[in-house]
Amino acid sequence: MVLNTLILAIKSGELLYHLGFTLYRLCLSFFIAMVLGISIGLLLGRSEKVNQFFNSWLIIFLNIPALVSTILCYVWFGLIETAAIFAIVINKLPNVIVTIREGAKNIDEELVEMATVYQLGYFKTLQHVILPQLFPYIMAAARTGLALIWKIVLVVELLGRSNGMGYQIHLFFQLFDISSILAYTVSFIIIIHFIEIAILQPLDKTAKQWK
Amino acid sequence: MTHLYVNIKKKAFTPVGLTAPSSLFSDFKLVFNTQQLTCIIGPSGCGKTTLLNMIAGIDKDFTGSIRLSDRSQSSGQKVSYVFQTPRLLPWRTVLENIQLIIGKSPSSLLKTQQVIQQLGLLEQLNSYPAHLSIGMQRRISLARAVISDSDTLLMDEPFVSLDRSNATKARRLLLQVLERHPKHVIFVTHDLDEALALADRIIFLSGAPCQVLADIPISTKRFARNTAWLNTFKAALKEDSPNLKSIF
Repeated sequence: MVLNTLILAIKSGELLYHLGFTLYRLCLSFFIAMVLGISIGLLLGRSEKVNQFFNSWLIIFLNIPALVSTILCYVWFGLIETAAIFAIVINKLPNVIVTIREGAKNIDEELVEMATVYQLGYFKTLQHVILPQLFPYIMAAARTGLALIWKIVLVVELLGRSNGMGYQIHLFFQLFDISSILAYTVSFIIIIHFIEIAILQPLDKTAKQWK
Repeated sequence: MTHLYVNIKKKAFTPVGLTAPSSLFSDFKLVFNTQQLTCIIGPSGCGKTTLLNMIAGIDKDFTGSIRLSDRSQSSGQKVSYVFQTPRLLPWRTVLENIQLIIGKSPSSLLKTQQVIQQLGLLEQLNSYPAHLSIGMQRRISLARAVISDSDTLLMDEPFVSLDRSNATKARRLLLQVLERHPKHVIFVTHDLDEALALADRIIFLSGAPCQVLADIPISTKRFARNTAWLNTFKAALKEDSPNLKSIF
């Protein structure tokens, strides 16, 4: 029954339309949160002073419920796309920062010194010395972050958007349409596995070449 | 002629477990002349590595100055450094590790191949450091330092854990490179024989706080330094400088 519903939903184009919107929000907010999170995490991990200053803020943001920050974003910015993306980023960002900060604290100082002595410069040091060491942490942040974003993006859509998976599931909930809810969930699972196998695992493999 | 002036007014460090910092260097002055290979010998923990780190610009936590005579600031000098540990990037191959520092031009590739071949590691050029022995990694680290174009070459016990024939190869390479591109070389070692074989000048340091115990220039040509010369030199040294007895 679920399979039938799934096929029907795909054929009608409805599922793809809403899935497309959800994926678009997911990719955009994921990208923004990762870039910001890696930069801020690196900064906090490398400088003890900055870390002490921002640590309590980080803990606050880490523990604010997703529902609260999402509603606040919608109230403050209106029921617009930017508010939705912003809400997702705000929810994911602290997790990325914390993971990358741990990575940045564990960076091998000896190699950084080597880069300093040979005057590699800021970008080369980042590219060849820092980022390869952060890679496992970046992967961890990406995996846990992706799982988190899936959950948040649906809440955000449910609360204030008129398209996307969250909106649809809200609709099915009002109709008590269990098979549709399950059909949409199955499509989710397929996509998650696709991301894991097609993107994350090959990345892991190339990075471990030297071991 | 450029000279390298080292003038450290104060350098303190806090040993693990102690709260009060102890003084490692105070009013420590040294001048290194161009085209000289200076060996530094001293007891463990006297601050030899710290001295190299300060000259390299890694350790900036001291008062005083380190500069080349023709440049106003220490930041102007180009330094290459053979660290005690190889410090190669494990996620880059041998060739990539070296190219990261000297660039990817065909001429630098040729230079790299020549030096690596001389050290007997040409087959390992595209290996990752984790697949090489520690001795091989040390030789790569040496190659990286001599290939890079620098004013000052710092070496922190570069030949320990190399077997005799590889150490000889490495020494020969070092001297050849210096013949072509003379530069300041500051060579920290525990091995007096090694110092006597290589140095133009040997500086003996005391334990902390670090002072120069003896500063001995060696004018005998390197090829003339045979066993007999070595023994007479050591005997003379023993007699002239009784404060060096801890070295022997």
